[in-house]
Amino acid sequence: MKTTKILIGICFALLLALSLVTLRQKEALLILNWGEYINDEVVERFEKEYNINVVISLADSNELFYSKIKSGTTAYDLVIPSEYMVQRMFESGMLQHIQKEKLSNYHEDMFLPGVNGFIESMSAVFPEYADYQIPYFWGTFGLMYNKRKTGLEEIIKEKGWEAFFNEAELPTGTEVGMYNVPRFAYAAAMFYNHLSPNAIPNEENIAIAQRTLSMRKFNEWGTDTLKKNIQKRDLDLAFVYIGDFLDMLYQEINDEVNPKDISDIAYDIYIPDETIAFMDSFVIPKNARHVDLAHAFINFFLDPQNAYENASVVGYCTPLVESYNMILAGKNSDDKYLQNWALAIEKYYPLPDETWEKPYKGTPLTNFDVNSLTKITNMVNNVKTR
Amino acid sequence: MNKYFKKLAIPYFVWLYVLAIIPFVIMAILSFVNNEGLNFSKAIFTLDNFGYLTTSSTVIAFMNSLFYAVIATLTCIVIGYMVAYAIFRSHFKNKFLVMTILILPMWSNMLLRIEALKNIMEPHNIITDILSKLGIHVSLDIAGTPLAVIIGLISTYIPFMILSIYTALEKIDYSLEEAALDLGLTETKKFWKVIFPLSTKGIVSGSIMVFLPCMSGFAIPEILGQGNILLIGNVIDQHFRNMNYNLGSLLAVVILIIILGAIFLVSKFDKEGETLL
Amino acid sequence: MIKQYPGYEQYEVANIEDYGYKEHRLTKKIFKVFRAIVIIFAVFLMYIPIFTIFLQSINSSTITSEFGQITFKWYANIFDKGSLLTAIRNTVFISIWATLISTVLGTLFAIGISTLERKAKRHIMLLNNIPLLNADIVSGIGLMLIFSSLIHIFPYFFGWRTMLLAHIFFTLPYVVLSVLPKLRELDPNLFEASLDLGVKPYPSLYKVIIPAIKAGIFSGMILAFTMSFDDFVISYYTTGNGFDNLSIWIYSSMGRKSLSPSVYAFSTLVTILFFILLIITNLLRGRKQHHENH
Repeated sequence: MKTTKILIGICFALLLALSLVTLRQKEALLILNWGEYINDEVVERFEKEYNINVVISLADSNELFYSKIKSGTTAYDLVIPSEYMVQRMFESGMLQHIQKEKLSNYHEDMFLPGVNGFIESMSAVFPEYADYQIPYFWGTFGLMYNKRKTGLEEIIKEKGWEAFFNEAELPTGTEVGMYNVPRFAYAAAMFYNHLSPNAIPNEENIAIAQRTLSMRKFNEWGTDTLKKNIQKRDLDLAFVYIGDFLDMLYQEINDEVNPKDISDIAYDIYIPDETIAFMDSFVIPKNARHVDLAHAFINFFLDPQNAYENASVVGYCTPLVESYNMILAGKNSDDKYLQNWALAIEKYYPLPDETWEKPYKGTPLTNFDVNSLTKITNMVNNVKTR
Repeated sequence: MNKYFKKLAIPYFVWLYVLAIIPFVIMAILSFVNNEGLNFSKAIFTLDNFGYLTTSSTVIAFMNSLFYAVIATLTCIVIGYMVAYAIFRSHFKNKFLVMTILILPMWSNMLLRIEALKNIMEPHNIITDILSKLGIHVSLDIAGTPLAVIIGLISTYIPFMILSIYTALEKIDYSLEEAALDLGLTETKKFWKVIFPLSTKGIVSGSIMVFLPCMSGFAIPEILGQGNILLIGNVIDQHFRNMNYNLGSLLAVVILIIILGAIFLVSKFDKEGETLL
Repeated sequence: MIKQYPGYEQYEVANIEDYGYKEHRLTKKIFKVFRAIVIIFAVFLMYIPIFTIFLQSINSSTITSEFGQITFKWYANIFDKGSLLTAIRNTVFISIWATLISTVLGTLFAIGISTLERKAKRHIMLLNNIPLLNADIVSGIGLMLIFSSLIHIFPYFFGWRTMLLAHIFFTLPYVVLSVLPKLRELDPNLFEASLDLGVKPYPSLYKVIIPAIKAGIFSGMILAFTMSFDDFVISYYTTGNGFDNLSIWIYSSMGRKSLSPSVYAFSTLVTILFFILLIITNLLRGRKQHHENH
């Protein structure tokens, strides 16, 4: 009996200690981010330098970012949504102006030409875009495919979307996956029909999209599972973020036991001319409590060295010219990983040349209202349950 | 005892009214209007949301939910009964310990377990990799099929069934069994005439605890069905994700009414209203 | 034995059917084999995910489909990852406190409910079932709605407070439902007797009733802990100000990048820890009973 009492006593003491540690509420900079989308070491350095706690919460969709801010349960200081969500947040009056004079690292031509081009075309539909966000990472969607499937690489490079949707074009037994976000599936169907991914989902377009998506049965509607299944050879072709592909690639060239060369990777990605382009950027919500610190944080990540280190963990390409050049300089390094990283960035994020119509590939998505999204979701559900 | 502790129940009434009934009322209101998120200032009364209830995908999703939940529950009853009965009849000294070890997997994260289950349902996974190194080449390719979803549902929720059936079996007075044998019943007859009827309460409560999460959950069909299988939980989740709180609430309210109807039936069946667990 | 009896062969041997019974030995045997297969299958179904998680936790390769070498580095890495460690700490904090509070409150509420008249009892039990049976996403958003009405008074309300309240909300019904049946079995005279002996009502509640319903309280507590420890959806909607639990962490990490194998390591550790705890409590209980018997 005595031992039991002592044990219970010890348990309670431990519980109290735990509670004290957990509840020690320090003033903190609250950030809402995607999962594993930041280098923790860089964040730690920021915490030391500014003597503040940074608490990062995670969400896995732009819509969730929006509803998390809208519900007002937490006053986030910084959020990292994609461009169309920046527009939607701005239109709902949720964002505040970024005070560029507070960003000492910021200067006019610090971004890659593609990023500048992206901002320019966004500004055509949403003039305030440049004043309300600072680019964080950017990229496109593409068709990730399995190189081991004979004939697949050739046909995808030759026909792109035509092959993706037509079962007859693909080698027999090709397993195809689609990104399980209705908006992206709709965009893919629009690309196949050479329409804009931002075409309003009226009855006609919904019918077109439904017909296109019903042309074949997709083996999988997934998100992060698509890239893993292609790597595992359980899937041959899928519409994914370029970062999904690079993620898998980095994992293999960075593997501790068996690091591979970029040329040995058994899968690749093809970026069709018509695809989704996206840019995730820092925005500051209106009700942020630490506006100055939020600016300091953005500024910290505009430092080329920090951005370089951050990009080394994340997989997407940095928007900063200087950091981009630092990555490419890795080609001459002895470190095999840095070499492979440089090669990957050079190959998958090429600088534009005169043959390009615009300095970046793809079309950014614009904001759709709730009713349009519901229509698209419903259409995709109809496709799945047909 | 009555006069002293009656007041103890009052706070719980208040608590449940505030936290269970008020949200329900808000959701019921949300399903009749059209507004953005939870902002009621621009709310317009509409019945448009009800139109979506009859779209084919919603109906199919609902039928799917019902179908998968029924199949999973029935299978859980059969398997769960056999497991619980085997433990009940076993000669282990500490049956409770065996029971808890059996349901130990329940205490690790459900999402991780489902992910792991999905991995091994695909042709290339860690187990086939190890086996192939040993020279054995076997693989399974059922991820994305209805079978995968049903297996996932059973694997996740069967501990609840085993637990409640076992609890019911434990309560059976041994003298009843002795009496049955004294009256000349065979083992099989004793089981069907005495033990089984006395354990139906456990089956009912276990079924409810399996059926309802199967019906309303979305993670298992999403992951194991590889996005190809749509249950009503997925549809509700999609609408809330798209910030269409009106349609999401409407579906949620419909499901809730069905569930409340089920509880009402159960409470008719069991007058004390304590069937669950 | 029978065979030794002289003239044995001359007599017809009676079959079990002759006594009006049916011969079931073969069916019984088939059923037994079938039952064994089903039980093995059930255990296999429940344990295979755990086993896979364990394999992934000792796999040196970050590729989940390939086994490199056996490694324990992911176990060491758990404590490197700041956000994961915080999430683990938060999970433990919330689930233990939620379990303790809802066990105490749930027991008291159940005692209160057991004294009500039949109609009131049925009313409250119907309400009690709502949190239990509601789809998680509906409970989560509903609670968020209620809590956010307080946000103007307490700007930092969301976080551990709301998550704890939410967890108490959905674990309470389990405790109430586990305790009530035990209260029904209780002898009402027990309490009267202690009053007659001059013990005040509340002390006698503690000294007489609680020990009698201990088993129900315990199973309610286990269920509450299970539910709280694993919850994702309700936690996700009711948390705020950066207070994330493990399920939220896992779910959001699945988003764009692959999961760190440290999560598998942590999950395996938890399973082993629970296993050890179970064995220890059982040993202690066994010893205690042993003492009492002598």
